[in-house]
Amino acid sequence: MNDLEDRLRADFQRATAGVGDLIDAEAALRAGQRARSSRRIGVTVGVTAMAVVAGLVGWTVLRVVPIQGGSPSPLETISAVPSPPTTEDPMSTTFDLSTEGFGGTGPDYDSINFKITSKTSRSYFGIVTLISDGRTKRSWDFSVPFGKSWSLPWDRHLLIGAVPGRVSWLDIVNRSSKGVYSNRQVIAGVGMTAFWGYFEEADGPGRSSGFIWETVDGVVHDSSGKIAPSARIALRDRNFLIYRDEDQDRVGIKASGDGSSYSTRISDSKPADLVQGGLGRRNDDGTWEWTQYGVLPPGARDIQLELSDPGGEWGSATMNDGRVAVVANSRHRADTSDVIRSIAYSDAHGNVVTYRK
Amino acid sequence: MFGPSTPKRDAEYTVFVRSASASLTRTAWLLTGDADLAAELVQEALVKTYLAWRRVRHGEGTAYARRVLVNLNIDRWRRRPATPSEDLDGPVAGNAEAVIDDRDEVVRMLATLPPQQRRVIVLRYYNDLSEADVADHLGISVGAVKSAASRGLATLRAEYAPVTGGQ
Repeated sequence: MNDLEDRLRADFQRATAGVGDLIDAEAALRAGQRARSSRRIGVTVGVTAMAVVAGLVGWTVLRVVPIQGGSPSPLETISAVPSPPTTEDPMSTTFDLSTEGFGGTGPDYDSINFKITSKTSRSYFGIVTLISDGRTKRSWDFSVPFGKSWSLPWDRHLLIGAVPGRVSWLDIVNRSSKGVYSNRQVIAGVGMTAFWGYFEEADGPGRSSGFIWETVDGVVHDSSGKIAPSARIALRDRNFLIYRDEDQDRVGIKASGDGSSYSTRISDSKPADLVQGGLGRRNDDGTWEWTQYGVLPPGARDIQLELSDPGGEWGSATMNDGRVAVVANSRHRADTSDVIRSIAYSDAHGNVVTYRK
Repeated sequence: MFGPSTPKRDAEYTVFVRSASASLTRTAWLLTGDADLAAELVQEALVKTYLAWRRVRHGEGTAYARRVLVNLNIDRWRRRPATPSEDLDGPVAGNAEAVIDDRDEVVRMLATLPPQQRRVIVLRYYNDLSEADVADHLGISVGAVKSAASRGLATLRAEYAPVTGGQ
């Protein structure tokens, strides 16, 4: 041991003290699960493509049950974790679409490349290229101001975009009647996250109001980069993120674990709607899990819920705009979508508000 | 779903990530001097660790992930061009994540070392690994570790001298 070694140890500790831990454990778990799944997909594709497609959809979609007695709401698919980079160029990232398992008619290109080509003091400039069999099919120049998000409806099916920094979650708002395949990857050299969304329904990108994304420090943003009010609610064995995005007219939920997400219009998520239906998902072990969520007005307190399933659980949390997010969850009941039987709370004026099924 | 549910193993892995990611991120940052690259390396190492989780012995997750991380970084040193792109300017003011803080003199000095010496110095004096463990992490002999550490320390001593002399 000598003075230099001691000094090195001390200086390393001092220098690294300010290095933040940007790794989200659940995101890391999902990335691992996705990598494992991708390996299996690679094996399975040659056997039966349809089975893989069905599996993918089952993994990423919350099955939707009519909430107000009408027709089912649109499905929204997500791809909650970034796929592994397929390029070593730090200013570029390439998405390999061959493992995405598109159902029906997929895109006529097999990869998408985002490449940053130059920058000024205010913006990055780059080019997005759609590639088929190693050949460029189409390309598009783009620019992104530093710290800003950007997106472009490329054609009737494809939406592309980028957001600053790293994200733990990004979901494309889907107003079409079919699903959306999507993925994201970091362009390491510029600390930017590129993404794409492929809408099964033609004109889906045009009908989408944009996207919602969460930074690694847990802040939810809308397409323009504006912070969307949100809250996290931890139940016994699953955590939920609930957000309200006024500009895009969405109230949404993201579940921990498989990262499933769903959103609906604000007008379709009134407090009274909490006692109507729920979102269902089939777990790995074959059990069903039902979730209902909503947002109460600012100042709501003394919240009481009666659940249909006595073994279910619920929680609430105040969002950063003063509204109160509520979520209820039940398991092992495949026969009903009912989650909440009644809800009562005191509003900001002290009046008790009650809704019953 | 694509496989049997492994909630227990996944829960153990999540606990491991929470406990190890800060140390791994800091190690990666010292090895690369780049916050973005460090985060990317750690994420990549964690994915590889997850895929091998069944084989990782209890309590050795951090060592396993660090070994993967160091070797990923070795791969990157081998494959990466010396400069990212001539088209791009230097770090942008305000892009704090991507630049080395002026106060981090030791990181600046680390960057002057050849990659192997840098890895040995970081593993030896930040991670406090023994020479044998460093050799095991890097797949080299203990003698090579001693040699790289000696040369790295000599360079750092010379770099430190002016700093010390000015205080």
